Amino acid sequence: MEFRKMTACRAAEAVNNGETTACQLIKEILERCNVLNGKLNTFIKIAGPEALEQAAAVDKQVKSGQKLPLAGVPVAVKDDLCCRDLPTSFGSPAFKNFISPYGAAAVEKLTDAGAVVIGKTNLDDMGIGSTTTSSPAGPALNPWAPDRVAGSAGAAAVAAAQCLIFLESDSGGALRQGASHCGVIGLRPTMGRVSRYGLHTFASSFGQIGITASSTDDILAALEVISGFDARDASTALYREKSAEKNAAVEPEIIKIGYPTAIIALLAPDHRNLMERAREDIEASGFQLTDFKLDLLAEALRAYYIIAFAETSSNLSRFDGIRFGMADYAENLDELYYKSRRLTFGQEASRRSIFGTFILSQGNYDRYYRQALKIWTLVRREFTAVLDQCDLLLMPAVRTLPQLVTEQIDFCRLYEEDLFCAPVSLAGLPSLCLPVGEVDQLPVGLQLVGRPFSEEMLIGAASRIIPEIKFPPNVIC
Amino acid sequence: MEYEVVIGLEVHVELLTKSKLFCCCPNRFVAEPNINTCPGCLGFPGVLPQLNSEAVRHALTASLALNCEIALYSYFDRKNYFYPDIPKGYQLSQFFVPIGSKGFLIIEDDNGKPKTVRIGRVHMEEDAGKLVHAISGNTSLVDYNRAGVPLIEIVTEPDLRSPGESRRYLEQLKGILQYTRVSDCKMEEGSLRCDANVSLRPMGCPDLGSKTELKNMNSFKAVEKSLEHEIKRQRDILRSGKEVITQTLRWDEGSQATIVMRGKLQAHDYRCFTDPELAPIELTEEDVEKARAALPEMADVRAARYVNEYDLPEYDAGVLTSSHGLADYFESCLELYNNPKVTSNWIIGEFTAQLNSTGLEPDQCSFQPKDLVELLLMIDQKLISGKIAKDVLAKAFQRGTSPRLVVEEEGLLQISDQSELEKVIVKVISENPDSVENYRGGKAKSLGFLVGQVMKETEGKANPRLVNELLLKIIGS
Amino acid sequence: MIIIKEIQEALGKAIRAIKIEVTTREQEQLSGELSCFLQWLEPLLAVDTADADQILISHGAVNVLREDKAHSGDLVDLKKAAPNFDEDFYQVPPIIE
Ligand SMILES: [Zn+2]
Repeated sequence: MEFRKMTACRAAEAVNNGETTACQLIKEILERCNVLNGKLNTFIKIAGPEALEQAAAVDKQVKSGQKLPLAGVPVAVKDDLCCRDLPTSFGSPAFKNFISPYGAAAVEKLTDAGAVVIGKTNLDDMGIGSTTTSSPAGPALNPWAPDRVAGSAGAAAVAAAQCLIFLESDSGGALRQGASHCGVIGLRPTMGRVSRYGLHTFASSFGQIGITASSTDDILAALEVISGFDARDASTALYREKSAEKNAAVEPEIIKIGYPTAIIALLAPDHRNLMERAREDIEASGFQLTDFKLDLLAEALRAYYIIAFAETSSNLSRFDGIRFGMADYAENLDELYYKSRRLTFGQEASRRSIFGTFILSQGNYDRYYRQALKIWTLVRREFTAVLDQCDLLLMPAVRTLPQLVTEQIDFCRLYEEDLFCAPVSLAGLPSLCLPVGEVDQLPVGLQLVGRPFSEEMLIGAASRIIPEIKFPPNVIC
Repeated sequence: MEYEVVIGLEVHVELLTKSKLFCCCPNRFVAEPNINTCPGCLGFPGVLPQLNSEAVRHALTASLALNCEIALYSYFDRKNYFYPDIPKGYQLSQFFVPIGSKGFLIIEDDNGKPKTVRIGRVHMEEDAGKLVHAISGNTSLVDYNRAGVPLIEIVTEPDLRSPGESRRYLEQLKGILQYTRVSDCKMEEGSLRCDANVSLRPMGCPDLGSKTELKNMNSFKAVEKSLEHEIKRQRDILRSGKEVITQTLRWDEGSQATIVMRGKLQAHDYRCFTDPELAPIELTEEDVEKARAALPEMADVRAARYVNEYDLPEYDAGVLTSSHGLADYFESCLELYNNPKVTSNWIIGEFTAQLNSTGLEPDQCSFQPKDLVELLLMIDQKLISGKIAKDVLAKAFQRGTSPRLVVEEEGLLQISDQSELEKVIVKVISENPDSVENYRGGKAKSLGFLVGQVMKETEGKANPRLVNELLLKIIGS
Repeated sequence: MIIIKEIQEALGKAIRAIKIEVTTREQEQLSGELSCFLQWLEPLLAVDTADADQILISHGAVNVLREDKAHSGDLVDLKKAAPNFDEDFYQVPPIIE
């Protein structure tokens, strides 16, 4: 198999019609995955025997005449999603050997559709961040430039063809920025489209499960599989109600895409040029373009961080070393808490928990938290107004190229990297990141943002825009 | 100086549901620890809360029964703090918007006059687990069976003025919650728990004095006792010119005294914010009116009806309606037997005695209304005497058989056959010539003795009125 | 502007509330970072939000209720995850009341 040009849909077709078997496919990709992992550090755990066992079960189903939409498709899963038979670390050294007694709904839907989980990918401390530099396992490296971070380990794995589909969480933009940094496609669906049951999220208001792949067809195929109501996640009730509204076929001529001239002007020249070229290409492919502006982008970013920190302080409180995780010997209760939480969290999770506690405490609550909740309303209003005028919005996904592994970046400056992604999360909108070109031989993507539950339109439009997905030249395998 | 007592009560009540508030674990007491637990109520990462509809229905019913205004839009908030019995590091509770507010109950004050006690709020929340302290002393043990059990908290304004008023408020509250089947309110088993805030102030002073909080009162009697104790303690302190320290006290049943639990009441900062994972509860006016219409007749209304409709003494009406089960039982009997006072006598007397000795509720025992009516009809038909009937009731109750069967099996049918009785009377007269002489000599008491002898001879089966008649006829002539 | 000393105090309070072990040096560093972070947030405070309601729940679903059905799960795997589980109980250091 030539994985470098393989799509998930093509792989499933080959397995379904007997050109190959899931076992064969998985065996080959596991070999590739292992070899590349030595260079890229994308996987925390490559689940060889488990994957082969799953593949054998898929082959049996296919042999018995079943057609599975993702038969034999090798899937990687970010390690904040629980899988029943694989360890789940949440990016914490205290959970090195944790085997979750339940599996994430989205992962189980994928495997029910014939996909095979080949491993769990690297992530930041408690899943917080979009660089993987705070991972206890060290950062995942960018297949385009191994001296730089990948942003998202799974995006790197897709780019290097270590897997064909990657399932991961996105809060402030990790998935989208990872896709941009690695030159692949990443979709963050609307909250409520995909059940988050089994996803550890540090910020429940924003944490969503998305899909990364190297073709829009694969994104669509996986989305269809993982979408839908799940009684175990209240947010999915809305999609159950709205699912009747089917999206019309995407004809560029009738789709109006908003272009944020003022925002693009904020970018560094290389990035700005890239976006302007993308605009021309998009116009050339028949879409109507119109200008739009957002006045509250910087404020939205800050509101996102305030709310995310507050929720982090609370969401991570369950990690107390009593029912799961790790506990050191302690003389008294406080010592137990202090020690086991220290063992569980790294610097970023600790910082956010502490700052979040500060934000929610008496005296600061109104000033910061309540103000952020109000700005949230204003930001939603602003996006809603813009999306009344446009069907889709074009936004940058990143401000800069992926950081060098050795680079020490001030944490506030790191937060600024989410300037274009976090506000979209705050607005509760779906977003798809697609590659549009290169800056300094490194891929850069842009976001297409749509109305709630308009994922099909995003995917359809993206399929008309995306140039051929390039394979990272440095990956020789 | 004279002081006025100011008491406010906070009552926690476990709701009668099959499952817990946010997960499907059984809501039922089991001795074996940590049996009723799942990833949800143990706070495992990635598991989201699923709200129990029955708990919401109960909370709405209770709020309406307590004359509250209903919040048409409410939700759950997170109260963040650490304690081993709180699995998530926060308690989900309706902190900002309680489902019910501004309610009231009318009780009798110490002079027997009606008095309104304002209810500030009724809100839903989840219960905590239980801590057990190991005998060895070097470890504490946590049992999460109770964690996540649905509760409502009912908080009064500081309107109560004496231990007696407090007890009557609790009795009335318990009656209402039992009547509406919201809770079984078993204080001894912890399904109703009460904390009290107590303070004293000089008569006529509008400001509240510094208060203490009383906990661990396991019965209504304990509430009354501990309040009396605490009031005396505070009065002594104030009279000696000292100040009452704001603190939490625990009632110790053994020594019948309060013990300081926590020095200085610290104003705890729970950093409350709205839970982002659950969906809000939206009710329509129609929902509320439907629930209001479905409320059962309350105890006081029912008691008044018994007095008016059945001509029962107020005492009887009060006792019968003290529990909805007993009142339902009474009314079922009346459908089959049209003598309210006789029915009431038997239910309040012998039937209740059996319930008390077995600890059963009326609807749990096999002695059904039709059985009691069968018994009453046998008395009316003079098949058994009232005295024998008491015995029959006890046996039928304990054996779970019908009263008629007991009467037949034990040969207890009353002797109303005149000739048979005359034989016994003649025998008794011949054996007790002295008593006969005495009676004839004017000692009326001796007749009683002779009746007794006849009853003894017939093992109580003789119809006493007939014996009396016949005796008089025989010895009087 | 918040004075440094106030930030230090508030930070200490937050650390005690959230119960994460932090060395003195780390706490000093955090104190500086918190000042920076609060400064970074300044633009947010200037926004006029008088006519804006608070958003409390980001997903738009309402009345997502579950039927009141109970079922018991399997405990085995849950116990295994606990660092100190013995004789049917989760064990914690002695708590003196
Ligand atoms: Zn449970």
